Amino acid sequence: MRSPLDFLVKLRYLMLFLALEAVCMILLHRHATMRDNVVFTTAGTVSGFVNRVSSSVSSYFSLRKENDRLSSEIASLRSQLYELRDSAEVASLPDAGEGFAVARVINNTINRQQNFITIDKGSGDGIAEGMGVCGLDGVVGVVYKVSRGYALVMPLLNRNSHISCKVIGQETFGFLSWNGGDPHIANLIDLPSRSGVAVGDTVLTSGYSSIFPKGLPIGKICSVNNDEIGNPEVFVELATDFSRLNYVYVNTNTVPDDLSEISDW
Amino acid sequence: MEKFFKRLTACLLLLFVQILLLNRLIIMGHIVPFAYFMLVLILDSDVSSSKRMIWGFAMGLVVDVFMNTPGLQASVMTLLAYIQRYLLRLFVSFDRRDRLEPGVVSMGMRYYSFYLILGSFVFNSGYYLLVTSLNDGWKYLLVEVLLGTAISVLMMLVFEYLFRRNIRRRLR
Repeated sequence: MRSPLDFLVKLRYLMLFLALEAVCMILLHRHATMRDNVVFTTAGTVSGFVNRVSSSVSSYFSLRKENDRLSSEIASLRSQLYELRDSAEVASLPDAGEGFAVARVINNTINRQQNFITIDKGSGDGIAEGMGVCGLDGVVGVVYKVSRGYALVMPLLNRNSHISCKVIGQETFGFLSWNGGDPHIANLIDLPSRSGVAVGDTVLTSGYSSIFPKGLPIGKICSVNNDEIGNPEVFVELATDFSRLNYVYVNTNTVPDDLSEISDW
Repeated sequence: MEKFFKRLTACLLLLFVQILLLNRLIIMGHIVPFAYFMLVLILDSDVSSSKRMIWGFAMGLVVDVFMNTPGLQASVMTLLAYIQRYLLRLFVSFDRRDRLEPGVVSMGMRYYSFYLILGSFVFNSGYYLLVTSLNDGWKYLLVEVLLGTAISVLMMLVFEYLFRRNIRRRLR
């Protein structure tokens, strides 16, 4: 007669398989729920270092292209500067001065449902979870996890990202979310029915919390579809080109506990 | 011990190519060409299931670290490692005492290709089922899985011809 031990020995591979799968599920759950856990992410020390080296090498090969792009960007920004000065609604883009820390993007994805950006500044540089991150063109995302030398940013291109915003000229408020797919287009949700928004309207940060200053550019409305009862489905062309992100500014003035602008992360 | 280090070298080479090259090649907007799971598929038949699963789990976890998906790749790799022997038995018969090294030489091009297609299909199905929202529809998911499978098979056949012949010569 076979003992129960024989039975267990026979099932040892299945038990090991189930145990490893359980570990995987725990890791996935911890990643989704515990923001202070940077183990097994690109914000970890070893993976952050590998990404930093790899990013340094790859950026060296694109220096000429990057130089051309920056030159044209400077010219474009100079011409925009005078227009922006006249507009009371739009706050000036951040300088790398007081309240903003400049960080280099060392890892970035735009093709997944849950995209993340890794930057080369961490808690040692004064970065904390919940701080707002923007680029030259506008809002990028919010700091999600922080290690000593690196930080993981949840960009607008993440299904769990919700940023409070307003449409210029309409005094209408809503939330910006992204449903996957095109990395240039996001959705403006929770707008009141018959809000009067139109194609071409500019979408800015609302300034309801300290994560982002009021009036930072998010994008422009590129399509509005009203349903039968007048609820608008609004698509926004994002101001930030996430595929070309090299440097970002972290708003170190953010009050870390103020997470009112983000949900489900 | 010698075998272990050779396997480790192949593992590091595949991870290096996957993390620093393939993860950055995005096809049609969102398909990532995965090929690193080839190591699990070409493990000898005399490698125990527990060792195979630990190899798969460890490799998956390393890729997870660089994709910010802790546990996801490891989960799919563990599944693939667990069923690898059953997949292999579909195309070639071998005894417990036999040592079969899956490859073009031992299985023939036709059966080896079928074996890689099935293995890739299992991996890509597992991965895209976990990362794709079903709100996008089954057709979308199916296209991702089929396209991902085709790209993986192509990459693995390229690896086979680029590296494995040399590795085999060294093993002899």
